[in-house]
Amino acid sequence: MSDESDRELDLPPRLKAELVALHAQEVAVPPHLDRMILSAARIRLSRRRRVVAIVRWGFAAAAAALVVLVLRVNLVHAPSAPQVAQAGDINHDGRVDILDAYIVARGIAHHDPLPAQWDVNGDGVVDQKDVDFIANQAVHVSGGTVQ
Amino acid sequence: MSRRLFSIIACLTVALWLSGGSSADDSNTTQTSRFEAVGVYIDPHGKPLAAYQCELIAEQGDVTLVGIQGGDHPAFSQPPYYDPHALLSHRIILAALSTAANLPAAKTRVATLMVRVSGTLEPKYVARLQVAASADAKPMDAEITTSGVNP
Repeated sequence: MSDESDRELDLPPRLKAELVALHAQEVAVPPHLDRMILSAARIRLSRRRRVVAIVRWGFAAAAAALVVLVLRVNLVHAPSAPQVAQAGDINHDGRVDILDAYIVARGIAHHDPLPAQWDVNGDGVVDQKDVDFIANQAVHVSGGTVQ
Repeated sequence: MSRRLFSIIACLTVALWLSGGSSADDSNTTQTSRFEAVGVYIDPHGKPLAAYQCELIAEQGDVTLVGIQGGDHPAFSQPPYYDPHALLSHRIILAALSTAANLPAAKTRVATLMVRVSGTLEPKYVARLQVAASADAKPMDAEITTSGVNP
């Protein structure tokens, strides 16, 4: 390998001398041309930086829009707030009372197929404990004072 | 010297008299405290009563709730649901349900409240039926009343 490169570099002495003389000449670049080249380079680099920034912000905006979209879809398809707040409101009349407990108790007594939403205490089964849970909610006296 | 002794004896006598007077007052207070039973009645006007929820307020008198019992009819013989915090207040919500086939259709005592009444002021109760339901789980008209019960 080194023999091959030595052979390539093995030029005739005259040619070699002329080549060395050619590259020895100093090319004078006028200062205004130098400044023009530098400023052109700066402009070009700043454009590139701007493009990179635009691309980054674009990605960030797209990601934010995606998050907002996902949240919105989840909120639209999630159960409404009153249903979540009043887990024992079985008949959906806007309040939890003994009627809700009775509906669950009747379903248990009749061995009806019971909706999973009636598992208000979240133990995985709809049973007497859910009836008691709803009934206790219904008779709850907040603060224990006369209203 | 005898004068000082006399004043000490006089002070002791007054102190003894005052302490005797206050114990007499205490015995008077004890005498005015009594236990009562208050019956809660619901008249479902001929329709079988499957569930009820009512609110009771002692509007007048120094009343302390000490216990709750069930009603006369077998369907409501068990004590109703209530909030134990209500024992410390003058307001309570009672609720009960029954899935039995035999339900009361006429006026019946659904619960009895055991109360301690202090003082001479006669207690006054206000009962409000929040909901009454028939066996088909639909709200229905009914009337609620309270009255004294001989325990």
